[in-house]
Amino acid sequence: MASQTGEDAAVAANEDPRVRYDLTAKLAGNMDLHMLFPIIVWLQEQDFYDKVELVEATLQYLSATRMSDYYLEVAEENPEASAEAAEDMKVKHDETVQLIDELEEGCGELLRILRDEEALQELVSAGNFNLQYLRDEMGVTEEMVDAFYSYGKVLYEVGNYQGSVYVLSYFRELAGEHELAIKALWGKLCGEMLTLSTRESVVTALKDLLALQTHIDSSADTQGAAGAQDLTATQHLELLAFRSWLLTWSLFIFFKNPVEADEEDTPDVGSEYPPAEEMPEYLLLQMLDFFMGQKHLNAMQTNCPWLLRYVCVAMVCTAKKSRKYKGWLINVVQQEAYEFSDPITRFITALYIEYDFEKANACLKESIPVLQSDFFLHPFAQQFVDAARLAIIESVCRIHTKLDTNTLASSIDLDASMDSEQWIVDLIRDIKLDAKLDSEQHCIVMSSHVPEIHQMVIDKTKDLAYRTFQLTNEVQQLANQKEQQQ
Amino acid sequence: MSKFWGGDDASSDEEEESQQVQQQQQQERARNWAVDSDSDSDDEDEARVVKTADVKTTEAVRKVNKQLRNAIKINDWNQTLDLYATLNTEAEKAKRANNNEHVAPFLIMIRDLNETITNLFLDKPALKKLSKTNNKAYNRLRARVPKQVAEYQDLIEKAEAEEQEDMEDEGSDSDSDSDSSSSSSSSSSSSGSSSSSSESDSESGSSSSDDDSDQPDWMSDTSSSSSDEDEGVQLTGRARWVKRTQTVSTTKRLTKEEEAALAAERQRKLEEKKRLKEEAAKAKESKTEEVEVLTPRQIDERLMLLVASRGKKGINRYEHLEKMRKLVHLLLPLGPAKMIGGLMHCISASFDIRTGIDEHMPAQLWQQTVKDIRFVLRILSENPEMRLANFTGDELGALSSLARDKAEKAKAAAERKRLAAERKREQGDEEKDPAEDEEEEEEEGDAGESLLDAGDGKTVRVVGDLCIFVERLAEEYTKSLRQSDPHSQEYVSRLSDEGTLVEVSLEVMEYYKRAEAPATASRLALICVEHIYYKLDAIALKLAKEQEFQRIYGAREALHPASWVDAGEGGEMDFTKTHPAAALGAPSQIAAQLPVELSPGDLLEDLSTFIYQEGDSRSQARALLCSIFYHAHHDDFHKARDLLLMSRLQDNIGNADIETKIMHNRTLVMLGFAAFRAGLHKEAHACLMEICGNKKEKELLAQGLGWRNFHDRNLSQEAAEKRRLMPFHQHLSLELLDAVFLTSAMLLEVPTLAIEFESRYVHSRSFLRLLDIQSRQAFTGEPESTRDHVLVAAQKLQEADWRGANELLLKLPVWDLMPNAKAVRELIQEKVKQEALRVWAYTYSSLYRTVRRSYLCELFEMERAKVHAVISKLIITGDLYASWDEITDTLVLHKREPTHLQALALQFSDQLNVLVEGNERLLNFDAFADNRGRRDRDETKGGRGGGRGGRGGRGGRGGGRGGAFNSGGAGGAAGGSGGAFNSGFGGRGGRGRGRGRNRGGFRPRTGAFGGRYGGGGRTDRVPIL
Repeated sequence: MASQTGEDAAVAANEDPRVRYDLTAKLAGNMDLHMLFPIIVWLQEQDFYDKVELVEATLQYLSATRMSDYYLEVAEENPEASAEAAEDMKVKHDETVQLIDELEEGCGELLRILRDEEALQELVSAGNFNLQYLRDEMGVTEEMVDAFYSYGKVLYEVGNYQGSVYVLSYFRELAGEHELAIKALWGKLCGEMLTLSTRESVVTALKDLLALQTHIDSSADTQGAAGAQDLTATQHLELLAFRSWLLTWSLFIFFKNPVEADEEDTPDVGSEYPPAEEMPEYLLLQMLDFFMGQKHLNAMQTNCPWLLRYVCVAMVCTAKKSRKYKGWLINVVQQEAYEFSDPITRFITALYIEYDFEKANACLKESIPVLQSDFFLHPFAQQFVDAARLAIIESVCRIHTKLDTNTLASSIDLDASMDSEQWIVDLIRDIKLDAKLDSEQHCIVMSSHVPEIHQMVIDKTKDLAYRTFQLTNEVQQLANQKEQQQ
Repeated sequence: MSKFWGGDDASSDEEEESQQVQQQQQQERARNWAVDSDSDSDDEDEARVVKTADVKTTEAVRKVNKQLRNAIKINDWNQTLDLYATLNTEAEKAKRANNNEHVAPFLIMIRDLNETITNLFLDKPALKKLSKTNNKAYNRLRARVPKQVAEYQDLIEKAEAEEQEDMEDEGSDSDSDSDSSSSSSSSSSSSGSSSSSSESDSESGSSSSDDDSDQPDWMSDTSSSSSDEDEGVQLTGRARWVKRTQTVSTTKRLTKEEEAALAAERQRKLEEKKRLKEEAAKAKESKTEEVEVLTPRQIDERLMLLVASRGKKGINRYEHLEKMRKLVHLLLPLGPAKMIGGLMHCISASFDIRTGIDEHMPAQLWQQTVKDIRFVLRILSENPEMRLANFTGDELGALSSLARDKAEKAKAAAERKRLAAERKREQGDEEKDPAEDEEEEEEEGDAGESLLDAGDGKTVRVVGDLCIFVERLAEEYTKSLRQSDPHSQEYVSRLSDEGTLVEVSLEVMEYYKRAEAPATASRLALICVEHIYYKLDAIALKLAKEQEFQRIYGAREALHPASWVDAGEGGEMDFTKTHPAAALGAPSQIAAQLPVELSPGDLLEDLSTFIYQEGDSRSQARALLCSIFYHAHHDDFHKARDLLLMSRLQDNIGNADIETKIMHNRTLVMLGFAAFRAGLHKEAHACLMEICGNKKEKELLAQGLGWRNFHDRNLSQEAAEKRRLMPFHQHLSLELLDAVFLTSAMLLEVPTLAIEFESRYVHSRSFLRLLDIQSRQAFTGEPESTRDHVLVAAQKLQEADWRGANELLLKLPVWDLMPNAKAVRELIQEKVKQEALRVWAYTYSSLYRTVRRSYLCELFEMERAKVHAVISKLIITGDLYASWDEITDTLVLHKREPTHLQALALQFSDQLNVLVEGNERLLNFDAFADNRGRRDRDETKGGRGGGRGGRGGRGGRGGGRGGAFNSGGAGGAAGGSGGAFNSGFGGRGGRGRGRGRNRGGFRPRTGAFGGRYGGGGRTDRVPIL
């Protein structure tokens, strides 16, 4: 899955910041082949990579899949592509068709059930869609189920993601604890990543993602418990690889979602998920939770530190609600600075570690093109910049009592044409800044915010009562347990 | 030699083999101290005739006897008394050499003396004639001699009887004696030199004539032994002037007639043998000439005998080894397989030289052994398809006993043959003999197949194992360093052997790679790694160059200075440093011939990668630690740290063997140094915390015996501890360790000390304790030790006096031990300033209403931006109640001093917090202890983390931090890592939480209940979305 072609060479040759900080090549290492196509297509729309190289890369990757139609289509548009490879692809196409036919045959009865929607509905609603029932009543055999899995896989390989997801989800129903079930889950997740169109699909993808995460974690634990003492090195590596994949793939869900376009309100998803307009923010928060879990954080630091960029963007964009992760993330960014550093992480460093607002501002400016050229982040570029400015202002205001309005304006690089005073007034009102504008001196005066001593004492002792209460509860429980034992 | 003194002896009438072996041993014992005293040394004075101890004693005894008789004759009792004393000491010597033959004349002498004394006592007038002093001496003798005679009565009688016998047997004895000496030339000299004084020169004449009459018979005995004879004769002329040892066969004095008769034949044989002989001689290391040429089978047999007698009581090991080596070199023409087999015997015997576990192999022998191993390797590389295989223990035993039987049988056969030859000689057909002999030999030779080669041509079965030999070499090397004084020249010169050791192990490794035994090869790789890792590249490269130079050209001292003194670069010459003859530069080919070595770093990388692939888990861990050490040493802190964390080495280090633990500790120290140099004093402190501060540094790093449990441990424990000590040149400076640890602790601790009314997070208890002691002292003198300096500096820092603190710290000479001392000093200065600013902010801010920023910059000589960053951080984190006024460029301070009541209230609330926390901890500990084993694994892990927390009160706050570095606390480490891929290194995540909790009063509580203790508990309870 490693991508070592055009991108790398381009990075070396060109010092365009968009190219320099492009993560496609790095991300590709942890992605499935099929996930690269939307990225490459998007890159083709941008103009910082050589198009010919991109086409070459596309063809190269396509030749490893079964998407022969797509291949031939691309090859047709680009006459310089080698004819030989096209011939091979045609052969492959025929093979694929044959394979699908065979598998369809192999699935036999099962496929027929699935195609008959009414019957399927009946089965599912009666709770009879399980292997036991199908085997007894419909004559579905184990081989059929296996063939069914392969069928789903081939569908994925030819690019029929929706079909694949459909097939694999039913396969999972049948498979139960089958070892292929997990593979199917991976496959299904893959397919879902590529077919995110509705809020519903995002939600299911998220569910699958979490299911996989749980599976990986639990497998780590059971393996560890079964094994002598600790996991072996290879098991660790495997886990690490799984987690890296999961993290990288999850970017599709968290950033590449089309939820804005989703007009329809579907209340049946339940109160579990917020309405559409809050979805992006919700997802960003979910993403932070997902990434900042200890195991994932470790995996990220170890294997793919570049993902820090996404975490940083998510954190800045959801600044208010993600405070709990801030300190942590800052530490991580600082620690990994020797391994990964780009304008976004540098912005974090400048703002929260060095308190150098000018530098932060410079980094922010630098990061705009980087964000715009990122497949996942480009929709968030503006949001990030706004949030980042706000963060700077917040910090600046917190450490100053008096601040020149011009300094403030310049510190966030406000347009000169804009009325800075008006802007600041808006700002004060918007973010509920405890400050007043002094027009005479051209400065903002912040009110001091020293905590009163009695307030400190209250803060300190506030939770003591609750904690003690819990303590007694626990003691009680313990006593009960002991009693029961006796 | 015995022939000189009359060829008869007490044991010669016994011809059995066992007797001969015994004789050999006896003779060895005698030589034992002959060797020690003289024959080993290359003194030219002694070179002409080497007398064995036997001969010497005999001579001495006889000489004294003669003088004594003379003295008695002239009634000089003074002299008699002196001589009597001398005689006694000589006899003692003889006795000590366990040579009863020499005691016999002594006994006879004292018997005679006693008689004379008694006679004189009866002869009163003669007695009265004695002078006063003479009389006195006589009386003393009269008191002593009869007592001694009484004591030795039995022996004297026996000796008398023997004397009687000797007189009778003289004529017939010498014949059989020379027979025995011909059948086993090496045993000949053991034949008694017990000649009593009465048989002297005349006797030797008769024995030589005996020899002569034997000569033709011996010549025709076997072809090989006849050639022996040739060599012997050929050498007589020269050999008389060459130092000879016992193995030299008896020199013959041939009568002129005999010589003339044999001359022609001898000449012919001499020519062809000479060539062969030279080849063999070339291989010889010692100056000694091997006079005899043996048949392959004989060599084998002798070797076998030597091998069988190895390690037996009373055998001089050096002597034994020397013999073996000589024999082995005779094997060279017999093919590589035999040669290797012999060499392996030699090598394994070399390792036997020293028996005590604490004794080391002498350097010279060590080098010799290296040479032997290299010889084996050379043979192996010349025969690339050759492989070594081991004998199994049973096989070996069977073979050696077989060999002994065979040797005995061969003896008997030789005897038979001799008799047959005698008969044949009589019949006059000498020509047929050699052929027949060889036939017979071959028949027998194949039957048992000697120890030296068994199996097909490709696999050579040998004793021992090259890999083990190299491991032993490494061990002996370290041992010798450990035992010699590190400041002596000997130590320094020994260090140069390390390169050789690495080279040899690399070569052996190549062999094992070729032999497709990667596991074994990885063991050798580990030896290399362990002798490479601790050197800085720059030093290692220089060493390698120097070594290469010395290998090509020999010691520098021996060269003309012009050839090695570097001429100044660019034509500039400094004649104070450079030899004038080197004006045009050193000979260019010297520089040109030095090969470009693989950099030690790359070599290390290659080797450790190989070990990771092929080695066992212990080797892997050790190799890993070595490369972490190496990276840390080369200032690559991040790489070293990542290696350490990702390997999850620390999870299991508690179960490792002590050597590995020591290495782990060393690695941690190095990592701490690297972190310090990188300006990460927090990490440095975390790394060093477990090693330092409890006065066990020496023990933990194996750089000396700990004094702590001095009374507890017994001798064997102490000896074991001594055996683990690191050689001096690998020591890490404890001074530097102290300085780095205390400085980083100071940088961490002093600013937090300045915060008031906070339940502070304590980084380093040991530092606080030291600081406390220091500040309580009534009178403090000038700081002397490193520790004093840092502590006084800390006190200055507490007053925000960064100049004073810096002055004290920077003048410490220990920083020069760091590779880039200058950068380190600058770093320290920078850090101290920064921390001083923080201390100032905490301590003095309440005295100000506003402070000009420029004033701060001036006060701390810091840049504006830097001051801004430090103060801003304090403001943001809520440690300092202040804010910047941009208009006036000042810092406005809002802090007000709390009233007494308020202060008390704050303190009280803190105490309450502590109380509740303590309760929670207690409960948690109990709960976990109760449920351990029943709950699933996660919780058990948390429990262990909790356990640590409960115990130390330190690990509880961040299991990762406390546990990760504890070599003994695997539980804590496991708890800290909590199943996550990275272990919970203090810095990763753990720290953030630590801080958050630290300021619990101001921040939202992050940890769920019960998850506060031990990283493990916390980690496992992180909500999954």
